[in-house]
Amino acid sequence: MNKKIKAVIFDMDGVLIDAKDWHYDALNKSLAIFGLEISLHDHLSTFDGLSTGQKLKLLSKTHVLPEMLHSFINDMKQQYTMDITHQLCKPMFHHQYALSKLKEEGFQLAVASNSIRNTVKVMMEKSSLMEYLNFYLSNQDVAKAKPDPEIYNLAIKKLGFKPEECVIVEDNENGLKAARASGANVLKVDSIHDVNYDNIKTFINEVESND
Amino acid sequence: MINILIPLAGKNTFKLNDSSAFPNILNDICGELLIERAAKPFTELTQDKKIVIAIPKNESEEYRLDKVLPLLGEDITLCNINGNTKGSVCSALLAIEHLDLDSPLIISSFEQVLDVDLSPIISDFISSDADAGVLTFDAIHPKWSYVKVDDDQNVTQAAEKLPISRNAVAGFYFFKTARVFFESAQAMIRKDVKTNDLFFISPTLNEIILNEGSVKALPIDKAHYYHINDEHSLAKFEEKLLSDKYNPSYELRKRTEEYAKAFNSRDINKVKSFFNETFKLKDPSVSLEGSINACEYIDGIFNDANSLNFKVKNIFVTDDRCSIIEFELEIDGNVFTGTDVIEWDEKLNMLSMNAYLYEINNG
Repeated sequence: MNKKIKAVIFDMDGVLIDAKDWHYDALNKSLAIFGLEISLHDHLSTFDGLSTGQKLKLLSKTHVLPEMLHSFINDMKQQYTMDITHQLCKPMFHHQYALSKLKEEGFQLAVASNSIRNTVKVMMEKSSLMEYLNFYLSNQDVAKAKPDPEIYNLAIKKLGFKPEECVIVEDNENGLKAARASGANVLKVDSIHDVNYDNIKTFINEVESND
Repeated sequence: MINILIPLAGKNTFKLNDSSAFPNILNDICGELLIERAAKPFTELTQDKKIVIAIPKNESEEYRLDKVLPLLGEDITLCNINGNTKGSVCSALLAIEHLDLDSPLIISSFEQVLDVDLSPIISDFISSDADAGVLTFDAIHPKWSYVKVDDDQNVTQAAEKLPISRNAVAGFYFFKTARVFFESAQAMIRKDVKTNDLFFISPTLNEIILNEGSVKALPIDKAHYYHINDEHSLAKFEEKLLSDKYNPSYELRKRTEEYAKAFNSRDINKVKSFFNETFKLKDPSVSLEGSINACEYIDGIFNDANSLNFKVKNIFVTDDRCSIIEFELEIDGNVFTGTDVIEWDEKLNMLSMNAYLYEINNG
């Protein structure tokens, strides 16, 4: 009997939304208040993959940045990310097309992201993808963020399917780890441009015919 | 303990001009550096204090300010911050861990000279229990920050570089605690309240007002406030000091101020050094002749009083070696208001003093 895929779960950052630069710019804008900046070189070589809190701790070791200001800078970074999102987050045809077609074909769709709830909400709205989603999960819906599989386990449970009936679309190491641990079928993409109808559909067909 | 925070990191603070290889604050004006004159009202405070100067590391080392600043007086701590912050509020926040958060905080500047005795002013702010306070002077130029006040001198609004009233802020901010500043500064930055793309101190007062805090304005005579941030204002200040110096009334004013300080210190030997041997003293209760008799009488007042505070309101000097002190005298909780009329000899020792005073009834 052929395995039937019933749902596709998307990671958000780097999959549906190209927000890497926004996060980098927002953090630098909040650091600029205090005369600091992370250069692109340091960003790529030293800071990549760290959380904002970890980045600030590292900066306090080498620069003038009192720890008392960390939570404030973190808040400002969120605020600036939101400003940039409102300004730059726009619908992309290939995403809208992919999600609308999949929905039309009867697939259930969800987003599971390490971002905070409001960021996921605003980004999905601004990119006009919200209408295709059954639901979205944020880091506020789980105790442990990715690479822990909790968020994908929860999404699969909410959908009411078995892991093998789901496809997860992921781009980065931590997300892939979480996705694989959930037992679902994992489609690895390199950029938001790989997330199109043809690629997803081909992957679904492969999974379904492999069994 | 009072925190005094001086951010020394403005956009023009370290700007050089053709005539000097050092920034303006290191300019010699009539024998004293600008920064010495700026620091004096703070280093001379009678209250227990900690003066924190927040300065970018590069400039601090380049101009040897790391060595110069600690020589200005005791209680001075240097704090390295980043240059190029988004304004004085941000520079101040970078020094936050050097402050005692639960003690009063004064934020001021070393690019100005406040020619006033700050000790009684600070005591006033503290005893008024206000959440914040500012010194103001009369102005309408849009380069200052301004506060609007009600009939009781409570600030109802602050605005940067916008004359919303004639009360310009004289570069002196008082906060009940450093924590009050820390919180209102963050609230202001969250709201993105910028002027010319920079965060200034004055709008933090609006956050305190919105939190139902009280902000007091205390007016000072604009003749006692000099803001010096460019060559022009520096030249003007120098001219002013020079003309004072060669004005005969200048020495007399200084001498009168020194006497007031000596009286307030309750040190009879210091007071005595101002009297000519034939000194005559007249007040509502006595009429005495001779320095010795006068000193005996004054020493009696000093010894009988548990607390004594001689607050100078105004000093006037005349061309014929006469000076007048308008004062408020507090002895053991009783407050007197009055005037000393003093005649001086050619060596600037007192020939006579007529003291007129009456008690202010608080009830």
